[in-house]
Amino acid sequence: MTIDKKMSGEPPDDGPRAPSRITFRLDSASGVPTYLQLVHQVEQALRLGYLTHGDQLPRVKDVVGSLAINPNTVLKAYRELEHRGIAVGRPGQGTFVEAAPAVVPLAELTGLRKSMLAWLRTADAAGLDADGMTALFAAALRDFHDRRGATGASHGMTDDGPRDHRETA
Amino acid sequence: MNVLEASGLGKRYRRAWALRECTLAIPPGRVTALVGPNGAGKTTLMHLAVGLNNPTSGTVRVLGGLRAGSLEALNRVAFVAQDAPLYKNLPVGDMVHLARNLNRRWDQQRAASRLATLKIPLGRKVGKLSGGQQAQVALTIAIARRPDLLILDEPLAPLDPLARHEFLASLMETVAEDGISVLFSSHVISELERIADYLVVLADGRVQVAGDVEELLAGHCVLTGPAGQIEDAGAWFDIVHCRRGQSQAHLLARLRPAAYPEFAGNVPNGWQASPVTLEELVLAYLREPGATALPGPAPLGRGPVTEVTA
Amino acid sequence: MTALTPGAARSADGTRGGWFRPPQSLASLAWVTWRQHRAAIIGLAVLYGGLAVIMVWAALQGHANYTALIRDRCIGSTQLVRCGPLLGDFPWLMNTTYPIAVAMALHIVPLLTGMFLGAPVLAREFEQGTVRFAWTQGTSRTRWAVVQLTLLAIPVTAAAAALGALAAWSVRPFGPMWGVSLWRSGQFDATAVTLAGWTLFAFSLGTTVGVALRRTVPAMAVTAASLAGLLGVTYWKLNDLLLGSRPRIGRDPAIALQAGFPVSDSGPVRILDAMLNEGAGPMNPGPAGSLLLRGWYTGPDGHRLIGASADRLLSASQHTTSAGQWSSWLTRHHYAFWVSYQPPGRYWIFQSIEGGALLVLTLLLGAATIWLVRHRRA
Repeated sequence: MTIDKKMSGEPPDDGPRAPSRITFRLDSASGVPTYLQLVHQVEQALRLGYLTHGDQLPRVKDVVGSLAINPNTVLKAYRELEHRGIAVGRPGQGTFVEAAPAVVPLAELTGLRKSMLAWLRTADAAGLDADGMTALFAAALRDFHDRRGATGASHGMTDDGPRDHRETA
Repeated sequence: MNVLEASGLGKRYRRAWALRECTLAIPPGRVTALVGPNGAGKTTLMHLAVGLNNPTSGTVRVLGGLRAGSLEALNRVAFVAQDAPLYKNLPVGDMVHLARNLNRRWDQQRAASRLATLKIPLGRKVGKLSGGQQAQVALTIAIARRPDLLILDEPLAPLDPLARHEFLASLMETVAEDGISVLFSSHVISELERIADYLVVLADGRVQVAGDVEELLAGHCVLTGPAGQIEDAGAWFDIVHCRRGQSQAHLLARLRPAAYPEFAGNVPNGWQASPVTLEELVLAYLREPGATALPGPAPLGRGPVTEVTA
Repeated sequence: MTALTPGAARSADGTRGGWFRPPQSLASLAWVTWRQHRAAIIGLAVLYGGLAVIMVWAALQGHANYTALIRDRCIGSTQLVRCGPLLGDFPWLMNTTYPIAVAMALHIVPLLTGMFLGAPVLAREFEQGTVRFAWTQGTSRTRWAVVQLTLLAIPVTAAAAALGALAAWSVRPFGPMWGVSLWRSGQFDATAVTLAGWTLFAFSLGTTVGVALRRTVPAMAVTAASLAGLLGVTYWKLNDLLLGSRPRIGRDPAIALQAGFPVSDSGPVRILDAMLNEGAGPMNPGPAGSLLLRGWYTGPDGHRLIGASADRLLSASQHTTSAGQWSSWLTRHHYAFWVSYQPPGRYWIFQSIEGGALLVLTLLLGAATIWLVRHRRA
């Protein structure tokens, strides 16, 4: 009687393979949960073109072997990516990139940036320094997320870990 | 099937109790961290679980009811004792061959390939290896036994940071490959969050905290608010540990299980909740020996789980 | 060592991917035992081999010279003119030095076995903490201990028996020549039976002390000290008690010696002491191969001489100058000298008693060791 938990759905190790397209790193000082860091790094790699449709994500065993983290954390990150529609697990093979997250067009980004600058000038006039602005932005962003979480709205980019519901203003 | 079940487990050496009324049920497939200060009873609990020691009271069973130390349990539970005791005068190859001869379950291929990967010379005496390499040889022997439960007593203590990372990486690889359950003790708590998904805090011979790491983190938070209104927070939360200044206080708080569904909305006015790290949580409990967080219904006859230190 | 040959462990159990092996064979634990204790085993083997070589060499010399002494009828002879040169070539045949030295040397066999093999076997495991390794592998600790200790005990006991047998063969020429009796305390404890018994006992005493003290050097010291004490007590006291005892195997035979007893400074007086415990030989007339126990004189009325009458007889003996004169004086006056003795046929019975007692003690110690192994904490 063994605890037969097929952790990764990956094929057994059979000799050398091609190295995976990306590797993960952890920032233990960020305070962001490990699985979310992995999720963010996959999304970032997609945005920057390191990963494209059909690429295989690093195998659980390899991630675990390089980062020394609990395999369940990697599985949780990959489940989260599947949940967001970014990756898909293929039993016996691994997890593969399914679709890139929606990329915001450059023109729209420029517009957003302009409106942000306008807001910054207003804040500056009101006497806020850079740290104050950052803190205010972070608090507003949290509120925004919480409200959306509370109404049950789900969006691909929401960090809906169990801890993120806790904060209220 | 729990990989480890202790009920009313106690061990007394001469006059002092090393472990008392320990009741635990560790579910399978977990990497369980057993933490606590030195002398909290971690080693005693582990020695009882592998049958190196017999309990003074209570029982301990492994892998779904096997008596600790029975032959069947020995076959399926691998143990690496503190400081990885091996026969230091034997060459690595002979040490491994010896272990092979002491075990019915043995994966020679795995032992050989692991040692090759780690570049540990088979001809060198175990005693001449570095601490990290000795720990790796001990781990190699343990996992070549293809255990269902792997118990490690302070595996990280003698290792430098690099060796520690490599040791944990190979341990986690094994967990990913085999899905085995791991129970390891440590008094270093900074690295646990990445490794452990189940936590047991032992203090002064008693189990203080036991539970799924995710649930523990979700069930606890740090409340920051006015020092004068700590009682308000007490309506929804058990306060594990309180640090207060003249006007502001930080509370490490645990949501009462009954209040779970309303968690998000029930932070009292004037208070702000923020997530807690595993290290903070462990430290808070260790600072408050009276506080407990155990699974299941709260034990009868005990008042509020925590005391507010003011 | 080519211990790590990939695939070597693969055996037929397809359900477990080839790594679930059949129940442990004795050979597995035998390898473990050999590998862990081979230094001590080899050390003892070299030592005992050296002893054996010396004894073989001495025996070959002794046997050859014995043949020459018989040819020239020098056994028991005092004719130094004829036999002196022959004996002078082999001074160590002239006295009892060699047989006594062999017996003493053999006493270190149990001592060293207990000290260097028995005591460290378990003590070192405790001291270095490796019991925490050994007792958590897939072998029950009882099996681990019983098999390991048995596998060590058998060869050392066999080696001791061989050394004892070799020693008996080696000193055989000395018996008739110089009255070195196999009954003698040192010799009696160094036969195949008793030396094997002592060695086995010493080994198990060492293991018990080792598991009780859990530290190697103290265990070795205590083992060596208690063995030296026990061997000493046996040499000085217990053997006399054993051999002088009258086990219920029949009455001691007593015999009236026709030749009387040679007169010497100590002879007749000593012979009247309570206990002789001397083997029969040139100096102590009696049935060949027997152990003389007591001696006494009887008067013309056939009664044992005691007190003043014995004193009178002894003062009369002062005037005689030779054994023959004394003998004929005794006969003329209707006195007789008697000895009681253990006949040679009882030798192996007494050997078995001592060997059996040691075996019983060994089994008790073995049981204690296993109990401690099962109940000691690591």
